[in-house]
Amino acid sequence: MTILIDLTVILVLIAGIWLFRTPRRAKFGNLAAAVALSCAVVLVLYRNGIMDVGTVAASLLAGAVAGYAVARAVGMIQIPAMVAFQNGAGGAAALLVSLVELTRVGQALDLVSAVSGVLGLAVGAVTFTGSMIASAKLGGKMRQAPQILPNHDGLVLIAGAALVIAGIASLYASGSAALFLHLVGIALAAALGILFAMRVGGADMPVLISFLNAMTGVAAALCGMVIGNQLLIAFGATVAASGSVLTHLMCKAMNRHIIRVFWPYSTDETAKPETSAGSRASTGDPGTACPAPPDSVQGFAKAMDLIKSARKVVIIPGYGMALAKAHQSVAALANAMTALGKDVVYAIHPVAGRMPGHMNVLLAEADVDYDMMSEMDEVNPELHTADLVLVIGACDVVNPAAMDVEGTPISGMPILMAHKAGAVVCCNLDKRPGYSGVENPLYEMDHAILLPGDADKTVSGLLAGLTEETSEKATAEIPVSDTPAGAANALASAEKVIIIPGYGMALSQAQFKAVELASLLTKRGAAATYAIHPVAGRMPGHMNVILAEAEAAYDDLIEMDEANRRFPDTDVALVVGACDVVNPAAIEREGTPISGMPILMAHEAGTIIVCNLDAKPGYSGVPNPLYENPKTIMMPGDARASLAHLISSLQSRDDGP
Amino acid sequence: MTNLILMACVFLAMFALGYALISRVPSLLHTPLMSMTNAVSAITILGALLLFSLPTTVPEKILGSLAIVFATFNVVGGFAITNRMLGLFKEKGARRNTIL
Repeated sequence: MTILIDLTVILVLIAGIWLFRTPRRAKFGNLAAAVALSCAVVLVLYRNGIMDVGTVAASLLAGAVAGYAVARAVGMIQIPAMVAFQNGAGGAAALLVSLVELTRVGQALDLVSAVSGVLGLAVGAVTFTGSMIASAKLGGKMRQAPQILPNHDGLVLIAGAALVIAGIASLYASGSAALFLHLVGIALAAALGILFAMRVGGADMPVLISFLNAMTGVAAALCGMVIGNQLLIAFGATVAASGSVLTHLMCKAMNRHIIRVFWPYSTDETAKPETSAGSRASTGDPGTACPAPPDSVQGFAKAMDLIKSARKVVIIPGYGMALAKAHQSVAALANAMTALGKDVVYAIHPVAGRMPGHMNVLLAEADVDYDMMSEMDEVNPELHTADLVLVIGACDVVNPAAMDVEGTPISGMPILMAHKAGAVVCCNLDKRPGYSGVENPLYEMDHAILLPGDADKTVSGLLAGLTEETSEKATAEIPVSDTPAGAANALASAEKVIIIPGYGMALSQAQFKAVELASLLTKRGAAATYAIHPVAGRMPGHMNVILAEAEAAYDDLIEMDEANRRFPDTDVALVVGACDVVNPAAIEREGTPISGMPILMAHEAGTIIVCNLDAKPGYSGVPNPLYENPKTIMMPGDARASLAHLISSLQSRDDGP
Repeated sequence: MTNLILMACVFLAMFALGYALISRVPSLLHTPLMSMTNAVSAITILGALLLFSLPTTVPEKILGSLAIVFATFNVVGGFAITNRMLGLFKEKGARRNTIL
């Protein structure tokens, strides 16, 4: 009976995985897996009972609330960092369970359980620290380039050997000696995890993250062996399989052996100078200024002509698109081309992005239909029939050198044959080689045009060029001036306004004026809403409370994700006492204290009005490039006074002739 | 010994089945898949809960409840984020907003 019930629960999990075929069914699959897991928990509680209900319930609640809150707040480009972080939490849980089981007072473990426990301890600790390093790298909190300590291999070997010795010794020890050896083992395994993850570079992250995923599965299964729980073993094995499949697929797609990924230099000395030279991601850091070469205007015009005349267009996105946050504008450009009757598809290389399927998620976020996304094998045979290939922030995955030149780090790697198309337009930051360090001959080909610079700006430019030509009613530009009068003008003609409150608004008690301005705008027929950043204010939901106090309707308060969808077609973004939460440096620049923090994309609005005390950086100390944006109108001073000024100029306009 | 063989069999059977099934997941869904299996890996919560089925000392209680917090964070966060992500995938004609 017990076995039958266990089997049913496992079958539900399998059904869940089986449903991962199409996005719609995958949603049920996810639900099925969640149900299977909940059933397993209920079964354990029912069969074994709980001695300390209070502690257990409180811990469950704390973990669930934290997990849910973080899952809601995280942005799609941050998913890899988040998955790595959660993976680390799973590893830590496995480590703790193994430790308690091993050292439990008055409990003698048989040899199988003891060995599994020691292994679980080690695997859990490696996974925990490895995942945390991976998460820090993916979240931009740590440099992505491989970091190698002097005699790195030696350190890894010593830590590994010492770990094995401590593990074996702990099996023969007892009491406090055993506990001591376990703690030494944990420390060594933790060090090993750090050493292991820190030298994996940015573009190899998909492999590392898949591998760590498999490791948590193994850690869970080992936990199951300690306590002899078949459900734990079965679920752990499934995860181990999933991680292994993805690790294998990623390695295959990059034509790299897993050993090479984790031991980047020691096995391939010839690649050393090249690889360390090109450690930037495909298009590098869009934050760095890149002087446009003199022929770029001509190149742009030529690219424009190509886009207009092409009938069949293939878009190839790379991680540079993600870095430049260009996926929304790419999708807009693709939609514009589709509207003109062109045949547009996205070609996704298996290793584009930082984890398997990362590009698909980013494009999905930008509302791209998934039937427009094609896999490499489907697209390659068709590429010679395409009139135009648009490369957005991708380099190595379209580098013909992978096929033509022997002995480079990417030789033999399957690529998207962009060079076979009639014409190629590359919207990359610059010509520098991608992560592999191998020069890309595509840029020099006669039928290829490179549009250097920030991909988001380039693509938006192309889109503007295309829509200007095709529709007569080009959106009227709102006249922008640097004076507050310009701000009032912009507000007077705006149809959609988003107000972005920050802690500065609360400090100057400007919320009442902000609400007054919003209702004035609504009365004039504009749509005014408030975009609330999750960390605006000094506690969760702080801004909502403050605005509610000023009697703002709560259905006008929109969350970050929704607001960010609205910014591109918003006429005016009005920033009131907010700085870091609208700082584009968070997404464009790496290595700042706010890098990777999700922000409100105020810079995507038509005009930005900033009512801050001054142009000094916010709490993070990172200067805000938004203030220098040509679309921005600065109104320095007390926010309450600035808003009052805007209200009175709008009112005088209405009262006047 | 029979116990060990049984456990090894369960592991190998599930690994093989999982491998076969997951090999067929389209690359479109790899990120949600990994996020979902990541949540499943928090099944260690069973181990953490079982710690409390016997009388516990104070250090065991602390470590055990930490394990529960970590595992629940992983499981709830993992499933929630997967659900959110999958909600973003839209079929033709069902888009949330038209950009042009």
